[in-house]
Amino acid sequence: MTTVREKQQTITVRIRRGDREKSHLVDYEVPIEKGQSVLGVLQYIYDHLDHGIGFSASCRIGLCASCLVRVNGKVVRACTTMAEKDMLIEPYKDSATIRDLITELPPLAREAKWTVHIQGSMQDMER
Amino acid sequence: MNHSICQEICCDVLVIGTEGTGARVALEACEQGADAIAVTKGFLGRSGATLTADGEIDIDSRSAKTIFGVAGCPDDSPEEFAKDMIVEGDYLADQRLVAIHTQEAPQRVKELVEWGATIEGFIHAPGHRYPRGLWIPGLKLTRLLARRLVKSGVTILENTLVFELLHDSDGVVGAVALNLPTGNIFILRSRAVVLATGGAMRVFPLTTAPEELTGDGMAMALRCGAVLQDMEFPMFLPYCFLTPPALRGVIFPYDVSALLEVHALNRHGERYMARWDPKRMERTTRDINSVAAAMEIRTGKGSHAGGTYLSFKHLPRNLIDFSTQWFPGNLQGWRAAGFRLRDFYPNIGEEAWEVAPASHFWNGGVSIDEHCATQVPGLFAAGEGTAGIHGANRLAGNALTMTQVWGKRAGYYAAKFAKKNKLRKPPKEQVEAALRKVGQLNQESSGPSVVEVRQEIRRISGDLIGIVREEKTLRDALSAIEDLRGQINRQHVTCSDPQFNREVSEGLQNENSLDVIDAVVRASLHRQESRGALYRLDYPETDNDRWLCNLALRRRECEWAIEEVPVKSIHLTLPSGKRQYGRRRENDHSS
Repeated sequence: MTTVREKQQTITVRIRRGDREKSHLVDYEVPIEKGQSVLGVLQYIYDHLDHGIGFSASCRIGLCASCLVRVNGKVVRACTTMAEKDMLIEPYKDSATIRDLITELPPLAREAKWTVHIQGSMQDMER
Repeated sequence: MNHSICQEICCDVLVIGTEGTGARVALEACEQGADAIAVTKGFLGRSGATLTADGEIDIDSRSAKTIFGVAGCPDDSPEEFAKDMIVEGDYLADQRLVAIHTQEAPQRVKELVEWGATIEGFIHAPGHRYPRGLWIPGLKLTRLLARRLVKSGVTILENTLVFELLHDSDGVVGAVALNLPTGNIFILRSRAVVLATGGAMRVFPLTTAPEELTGDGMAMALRCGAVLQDMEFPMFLPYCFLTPPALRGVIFPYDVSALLEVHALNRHGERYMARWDPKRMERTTRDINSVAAAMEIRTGKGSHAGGTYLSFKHLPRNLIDFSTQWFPGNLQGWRAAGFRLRDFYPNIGEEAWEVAPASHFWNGGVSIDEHCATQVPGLFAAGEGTAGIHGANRLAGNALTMTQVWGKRAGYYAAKFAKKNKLRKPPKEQVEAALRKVGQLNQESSGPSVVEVRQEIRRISGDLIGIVREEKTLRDALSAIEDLRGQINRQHVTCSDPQFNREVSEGLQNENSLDVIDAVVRASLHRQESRGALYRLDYPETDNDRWLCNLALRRRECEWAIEEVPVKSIHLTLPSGKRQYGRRRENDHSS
């Protein structure tokens, strides 16, 4: 039966960290059990190994797509993709990287013009 | 880190939250000519609770039939729908609000369809005497609203965490926000503020809710003088996956949506619901199902993984196989949210699923009137995280209805309010206090890490509050909360990067979550009976003579005040006497 908790194993996860100009790879040792998602691994790293790691998630059940990442070269949702040995986890798109695995997400509508970053002056919005 | 205000942004109506409710608020405020800003800490259309809704939006069955041509029942009406909400909310709903809810619901759904929503099915969920569930998946609903919002002229601020409201003696004047991509802090000044921030389900260890649901709106409202009500009734969904880890908290959708008759079993194979609601069994409401499951687990009759079992084994194979052909589209092929269940449970129908009650919705919240106004002038609230619509238990399908009915109302009345009121200057000392909150989250802080604080909040919620409560553990919870309160101002942060600093946003959210669970514990302690989503082991009966009242909580400085407010009843006579928990339909032959 697949639902019974199976024996834990420790895997090495390699994560690309940094921003779109400069990045480097960091290795983490993470214990996983069968049926652990990539997002579960990222949460484990944040909770137990490195509070500084940047990643995005919201619904965690495969709907919102805010946890898009690239695992071993393939763009996937971290929450519905199961963790495996020898994973390289990178931002889903290098040019969209903000910090670590956090990226600007593809807009939902062609008309989308909303501001993701509030930087510098916002004179036009002030009154 | 040294923090200062980067800028001030002004508007007529500030809407906090941009999904099901928030989008509807902002659209209406804009429609009324208000200059609106809608702000979300997530990504627009990719965060919040609405998008996770499998798909029911409920209106009375007769309107469903006449307006949308589905197989509705002409005997139903908004009044009958209201009666079900009142009875299944265990008589604590504000009947004025319920009447508005059921009257306006058909028109709101009609609008959604005019805007491009498709009704993909029609179902009859437990607790309703008639089929009322129009099927519009939450994901499609939020995308539809997001697109409309983008075109509307409303200014949308994504990835921006509002963490404190600003107010003077005349009411609310704006809010302070942290822009997550930059770490900049700014002031949003407005004539009216609408909270559309949802519940606080993430305070519990097992939850169906997305990351954002940390109780921000309720806590900020409490801190600026508003009243929280019905906080003893966080709602749990009885059948959510426990294993494997990736599926934890995912809703088992086929029973909740009343698509197939499922048997809930304890470790002995007993259909334990016979002891709780023998008439309705598993088709009782979710509050009773959750309490029953929690009691099985608590009394050592739980499943291998610590939950209960759900079984389709009594159903013929070909019936099970056929079912997925007529299930609503997003559930076809045995899918639960974005997962294919066969990947984890290959023998559907043969093996039982292991499930447990998970925190799913917030029945109580900020106290509002018919105009969505709180007790603080200029502060409005709508949707989940407001009290009065559902009483002690929410019926299936009413969460989405709530977003649209109350979203529109809040937008309308906030815009009207804004027209009559001027922008006022935020009190300097409040701005400074807000800045200090962020400043305190640094590497020099001597307290626990933000992760430890979050974990402790979940430990308190899971182990000491839970679904089945009693005085002793609630008192333990209160003292654990007190301990944590002493440390919340010195949370330690390891990372100094201002960009998307998860520790800083979590640290700010932790304070909100702590305020919310504090309210839950106090209200649960005060109510010495069992009703709806609250089960007290030490007071297991429902006592209509003593407790047909809403508990209203306020906090001034550190002092809490709890007031018992008589239920606002205009339609349905309230019951009297004591009865066994879970048997509210016992003498009712209409269901």
